[in-house]
Amino acid sequence: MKWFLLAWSNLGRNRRRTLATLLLTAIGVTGIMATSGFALFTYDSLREFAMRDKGHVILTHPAFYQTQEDYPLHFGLDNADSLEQALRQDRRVRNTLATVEFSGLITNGDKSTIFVGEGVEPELFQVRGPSMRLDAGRLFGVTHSDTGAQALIGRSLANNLKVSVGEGLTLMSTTVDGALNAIDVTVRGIVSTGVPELDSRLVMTRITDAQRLLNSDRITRLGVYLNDSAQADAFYSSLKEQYPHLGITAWHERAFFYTSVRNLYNRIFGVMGLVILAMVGFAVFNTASMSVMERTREIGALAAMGTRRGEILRLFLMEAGLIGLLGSLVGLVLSGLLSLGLMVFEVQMPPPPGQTEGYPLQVYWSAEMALVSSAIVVVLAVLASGVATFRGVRKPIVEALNYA
Amino acid sequence: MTLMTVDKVSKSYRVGETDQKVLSGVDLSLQAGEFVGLVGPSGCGKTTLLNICGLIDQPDSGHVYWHDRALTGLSGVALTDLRRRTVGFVFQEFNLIPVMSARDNIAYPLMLLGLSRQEQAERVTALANAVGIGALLDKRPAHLSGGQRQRVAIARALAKRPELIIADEPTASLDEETALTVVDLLRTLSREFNTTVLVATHDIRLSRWCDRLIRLHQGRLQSESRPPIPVREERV
Repeated sequence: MKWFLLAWSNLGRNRRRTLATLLLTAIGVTGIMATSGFALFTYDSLREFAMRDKGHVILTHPAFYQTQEDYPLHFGLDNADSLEQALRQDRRVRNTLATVEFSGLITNGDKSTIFVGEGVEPELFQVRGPSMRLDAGRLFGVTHSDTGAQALIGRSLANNLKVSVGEGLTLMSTTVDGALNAIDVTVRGIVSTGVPELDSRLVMTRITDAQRLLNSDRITRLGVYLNDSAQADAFYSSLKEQYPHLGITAWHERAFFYTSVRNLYNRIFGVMGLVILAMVGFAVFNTASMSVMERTREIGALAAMGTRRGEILRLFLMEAGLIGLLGSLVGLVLSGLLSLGLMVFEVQMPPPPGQTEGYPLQVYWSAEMALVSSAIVVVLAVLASGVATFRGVRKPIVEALNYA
Repeated sequence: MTLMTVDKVSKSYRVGETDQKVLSGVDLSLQAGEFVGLVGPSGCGKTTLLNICGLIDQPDSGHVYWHDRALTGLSGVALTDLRRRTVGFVFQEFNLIPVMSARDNIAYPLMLLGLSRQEQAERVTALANAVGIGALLDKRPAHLSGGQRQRVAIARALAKRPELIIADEPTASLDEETALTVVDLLRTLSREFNTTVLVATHDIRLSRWCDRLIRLHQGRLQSESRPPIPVREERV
């Protein structure tokens, strides 16, 4: 305890220098917490988006993701209804959504262009949440009281074909038999996904209309949505055992954007973190070096009185550890305030590359990250101080006592 | 009883390209409870001999015995532990720890010895009263005068009840009156605690307090005498 108190008192010797080092450490920890908090927010958002997009677990024909189809729904799933009913018996399952992917030509009679279509169940919009913005019209209702085929189309596609809600279009595609087929649809809504390329091609119909166009009752995939995302891995494993004849894919295996962003951010923020840590390390090294130099005679006196070199070194390490700890605590408070501030005062981020929609900036405050970053900063401070003070502490006593 | 014996000790320091001999075959023996003065002109090797006797420096040749036990070849850790238990220091510049109160400065060697808080407090209070700084224990060195600081340093040196106190020019930073008071104090307390004191000084007037006076000249023991030595006003 005495050593601790002595170390604590020593921090007050050169208050300005201690404060500067402490502030730099605090800023460093704030920086680490802010960047990692932003990365965690991004990972969390993208993971959530990926899970909502296709489901926590995706069921397909086993060859679907391995081999190119020769014709539409070549590797589609049969008997999707019975499979859905069986899956919905599981208490972990919140919902299942069947999807039919298709593509072809869309025309207003005068002008044609290619489209990428999705035949969806109306519950999709409840399950996915706010994954797209409705610019005009309505989304599909859960109760199907409307007559005739309807479609939601992307904003750019609507502009391209000069159509608005309520107007008619024709979708053309090849059936599973290779024949050309067409259905007329009425534009029910115009949507924006935030991705311009997608908005210029996107067509969504009810799944039954897509199956009618392709002349098949198969589906492309069945997404399973769980009540608790944390159970995704366990559920995936149990499905693998339960349905060995099906293609079972975990959400992250198809979350290419999430994976690539995560890999990219890990590298970028990892390097930033290293730079910040290096700055903190140098600051503590400098402070410890100055401190040892100024206290050389005192070190000599302490050693002469019978203080072991290890004890003197420990004193300096304690001082550095205290700076690291205090700096970390201040940094954690600052980062917490930043996180709270961003919740209260919304800061809008510009749209990411390839997208048209910005998003509100958030910085997560993670207790785990706080613990890890503080521990790293404290250990780094102690190491930097150790390197700086080791030689000073080993100086012969007579030399230290005569140090001018 | 012989506390320490220095036998044919020599020591050189490298200055530039040449070795400068500081001590040359010095013999010395210190008896328990003795107050020994070490005098001589600047550069005669007083401090080097003090350092060797204080176990903070090693001779190039010769031997140092502590209670007839040779210290040659003893590890640094063993010497540190020996100093911790048995040797106290009074430095010319006091070398008090500035961030500690006078109380904590005096208690520091006791903390190293692992004494209980109560025992530390008792010893500190008794010593502080003995050196006349009982009312100043909560002050930091920066708030004490030179004489008061040296009293704290003396109390610190005596706190662990060492067998030997090494005092290097303990009065050099003090005015004449304070210097005499401090040496008188050191002498009185060393008698009370039966502590051997080896004190290096320029000031021949301090010899009146010494049981024995050793004069060094150019690294050699020039003479050894017992007071009373005529007190001279000039400095040697």
